[in-house]
Amino acid sequence: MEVELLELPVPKTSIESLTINKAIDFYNSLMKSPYCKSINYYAVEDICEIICFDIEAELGQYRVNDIRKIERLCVQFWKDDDIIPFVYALRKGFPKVKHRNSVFNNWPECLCIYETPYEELKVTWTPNAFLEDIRNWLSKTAKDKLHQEDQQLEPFLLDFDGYVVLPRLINNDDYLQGFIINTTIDGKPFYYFRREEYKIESNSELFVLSLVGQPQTHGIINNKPRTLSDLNDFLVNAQINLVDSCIGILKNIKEKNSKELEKFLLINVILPKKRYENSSDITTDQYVFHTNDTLKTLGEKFGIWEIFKENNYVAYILNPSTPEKKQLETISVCSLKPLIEFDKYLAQILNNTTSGQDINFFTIGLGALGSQVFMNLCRSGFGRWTLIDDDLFMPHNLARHALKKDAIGKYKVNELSNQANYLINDNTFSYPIVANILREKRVDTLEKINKILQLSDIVLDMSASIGVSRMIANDKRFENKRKISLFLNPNGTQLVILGEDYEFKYKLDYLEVCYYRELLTNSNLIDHFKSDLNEVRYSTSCRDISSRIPQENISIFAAISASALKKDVCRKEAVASIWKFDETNYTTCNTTVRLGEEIIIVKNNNWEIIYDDILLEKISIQREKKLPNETGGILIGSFDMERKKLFILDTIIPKDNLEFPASFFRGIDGLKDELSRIKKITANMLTYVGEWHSHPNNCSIKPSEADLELLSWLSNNMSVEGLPAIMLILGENQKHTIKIKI
Amino acid sequence: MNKHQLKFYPLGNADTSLILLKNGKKILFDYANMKTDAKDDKRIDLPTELNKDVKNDYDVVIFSHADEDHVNGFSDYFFLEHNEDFQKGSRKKIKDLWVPAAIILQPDKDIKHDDGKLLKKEAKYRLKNKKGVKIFSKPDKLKDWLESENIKYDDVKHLLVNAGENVPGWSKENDGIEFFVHSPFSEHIDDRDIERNTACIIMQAIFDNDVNTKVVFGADGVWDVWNDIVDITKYYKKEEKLEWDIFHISHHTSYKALNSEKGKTKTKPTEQIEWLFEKQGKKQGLLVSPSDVIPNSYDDIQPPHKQAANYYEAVANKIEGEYKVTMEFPSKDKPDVMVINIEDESGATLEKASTSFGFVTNRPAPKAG
Repeated sequence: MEVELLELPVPKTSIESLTINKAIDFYNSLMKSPYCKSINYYAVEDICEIICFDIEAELGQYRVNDIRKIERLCVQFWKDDDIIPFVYALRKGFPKVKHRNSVFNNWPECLCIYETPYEELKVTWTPNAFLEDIRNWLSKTAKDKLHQEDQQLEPFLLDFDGYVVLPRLINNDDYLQGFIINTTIDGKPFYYFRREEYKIESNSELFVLSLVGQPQTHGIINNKPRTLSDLNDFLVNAQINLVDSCIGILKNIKEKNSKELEKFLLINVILPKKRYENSSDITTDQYVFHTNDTLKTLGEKFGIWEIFKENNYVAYILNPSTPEKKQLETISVCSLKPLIEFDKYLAQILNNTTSGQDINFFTIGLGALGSQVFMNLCRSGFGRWTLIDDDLFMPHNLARHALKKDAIGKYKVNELSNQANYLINDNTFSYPIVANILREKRVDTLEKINKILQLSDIVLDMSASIGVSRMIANDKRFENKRKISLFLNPNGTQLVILGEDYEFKYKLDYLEVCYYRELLTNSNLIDHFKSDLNEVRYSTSCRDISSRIPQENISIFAAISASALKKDVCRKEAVASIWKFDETNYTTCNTTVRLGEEIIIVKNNNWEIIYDDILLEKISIQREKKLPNETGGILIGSFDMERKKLFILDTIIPKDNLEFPASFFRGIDGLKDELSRIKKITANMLTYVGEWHSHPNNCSIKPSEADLELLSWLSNNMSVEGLPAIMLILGENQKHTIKIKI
Repeated sequence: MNKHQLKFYPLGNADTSLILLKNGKKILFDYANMKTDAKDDKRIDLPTELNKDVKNDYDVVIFSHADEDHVNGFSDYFFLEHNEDFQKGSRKKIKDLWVPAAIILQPDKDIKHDDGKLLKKEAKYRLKNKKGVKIFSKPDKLKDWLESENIKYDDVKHLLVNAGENVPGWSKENDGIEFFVHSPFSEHIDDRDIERNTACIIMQAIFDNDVNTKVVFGADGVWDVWNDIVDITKYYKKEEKLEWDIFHISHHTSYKALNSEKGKTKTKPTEQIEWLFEKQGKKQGLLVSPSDVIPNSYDDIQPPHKQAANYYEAVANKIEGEYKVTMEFPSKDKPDVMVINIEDESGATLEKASTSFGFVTNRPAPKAG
């Protein structure tokens, strides 16, 4: 079959005259390849060098696209090596397939070999790999497999004169609304559509014509339209009659004021596309074109009206005829690359957020950690948020808070909510309530809080306040809401994440005391409450103190928190973990807090005593060891005086106990030191709460007379602190009884 | 493997083709290891190459005839059932051996090559055992031989395959391939003195891919054999049995496979052979010449002949296909195995892989000092 080849309109040269290294290397690769023949060289002085050659690719006998066994190609290497070498197919009639670069009309087809930016390709560029990639392009194109099934459809246009940021259109027939800010960046226009509510200033003098086309099969990348005539031709494939549409709007504008006629025309086009002719899945491209004519001059060029230059008078022409192609060629258009506004949907895609988009968070505390966790999740398009905090944003907050300087003197939640909603273009994403959840008394605010709480799925506490976490764990308003608490240790090197399970077996306050117990047993966490950082005063009042935690720590833990929230809120189990940042090697390690399998709650004398199988197992082992004698020790735990709750978690066994088969005298040796250690490690959160002792096998676990006397003795002493006396008696098989005396 | 594969090896003027089927079955058409220790010998080491694909047994090994360029090294590589001396080591077993009847009937004195003689013994042994062999064509002389060996014809007739029929036991449905036998004809053996080339196995294989790729294995068929094949095929109106997407050219691009005359610059084929190549070749088909590099001169006595090559090039151009020579692919300097993938939609696809690292890592490195 005769093949007609295009001649390059540049002078031939010799191999010796090639000066561009990449061109020379490529030539050497061609010479070594068994699949390349007949090499010619061309040069355009000081700009580029071109190598022209015949190449064989791996081709099947039957081909979807007409790629020949030998194709003549040329590669254009640039002197400055700042642009990727262009690969052109010189056979006339080379198929108009996918993955071509847009070139001027009548230029040879330019193969798009790489998606990766040239700056990155350069690092690993080898001439042979480049040659193989070209051959691969031909092979795959022959099979029509270059465009992968999972790859996005090809756009109709690739080359643009400028940019336009557009809101996401839900339906193809949604028209652009709002206003536009136009600026110029490096000589290229940059237009930005904004919704009315974000209108700050309007320098737009644009009239928007929106058009929707019929679906087309993707694959052909068109040349950039430069005139209204080009654009008209481009839109014919989508069955859009641009000329008629323009005439329509120009005629309708007749009655409008002269200011309207001074506007420039912006043409917004929605072009639906499909992968194959018979595909039912349709996606859309959106393109925007800006005319350099005002409606007034357009009307004149379309022959709809005439303008008298003397007085700028517009005179309408009766029965105007359709404008000729020549006239349309005088109307230049500027193609704008459409960039979709960042919104919740795009945020989710870019962050690979696949679940939790509509979980309603009732969030308390938007300080340093809280604000950064919230903004991380906002950028992920994750959740819907109610933000509660009554703090003002102060200058010292700038060190670690997500807000910027212009928020100083304003309520943190108001500013954060505005910032988040604006960022992802969604006014319903977050809602601020300026309130202190512990102290709020205003009826309307309380009503608002209660109403929102009912609609919330998760209560997220980032207040770093035990008062808040204990309140939400017990307050009836928060019943049946899963609670999650996030906070840092005092010097900001550890993060604690506590989250209730979906069945509320593990309540937040129980998780909190288990985390204290974990500190006692895990040597890696012994310094959890140790603070080497002196606090700093940011003002003159005695309460105006802030911590000296580095922002990078907050940032690390905000990232972990956000990631954990995304995963953990979708899990049904409770979460209790401690993340530690090792500042010596910049790693973080995670400890899972041990929780009891069985949680026992005993109610007595208006007190609620809570303990678990971990405690029972520990004291039972001790009992077994000492049989047939009795044994015992002190109980370690935590009082919540406000809610009359006692958590018993651990024990200390003195070394000098006097233990007999029918009696027991608890000793004191080692108690003081160990108790002091526990208080230090847990920052006094765990302390002495009572006594326990065992009864031998085959004995009742009811308190004996001696036991009751002991309880009275204990009560006398504890009541000084206003605390109840607690006595636990342990029998065989973990059977036990708990006595409380006030 | 998700597609069938066909491989041709650069062995000089010698034939070996390997068919690897999707179902794992392996069929070898001739075996001729021609590699020598000579430094400039660019022929491939055949056992090394085959062993990359075949670990244990061959389901079928076909010997088109017993000439050196089709059997050389047979007794070094295969496990021979008839002689314990050839059963040691990692020899490859042959489940089913296919040979033309001529191999059995040829007098030993006419078989010049030791491997040919051993192949004859192996085929006879298997035929006597009535298993593991197929004999192509049923000339009367074979019946005489069976009688002389006290073998009842009826006991072995299922092992005898005639030209003009499919090889039994193979179908596109079961194995993804079927074989139609064109040669040898019985009359070639009965009507005249047994002549090697006229009695060789020539067949068409059809794969079960979407486009039913057809391969003609031409062995050493000379022009008058091809004339007969074309005439008979047309007589029986089975023209489709001579259609081809891949043609394994006969006799290493010898003009004798096209006509009795070499021609000045291009061999003119017989009318029948012209029809075979120019009408029966599918668009963008592939002609494979298992041969040495095509000479620049028109005067060479031994194949390949430049005149014949010119004809095949012209055929390739006519059908927009390719004519590839095993010792020239991908280049004369570094000939390598020719791998043809039998793809569902694209049909026969000759691999043209990058040569950068492949050539280096595919071979032992030269001795380092």
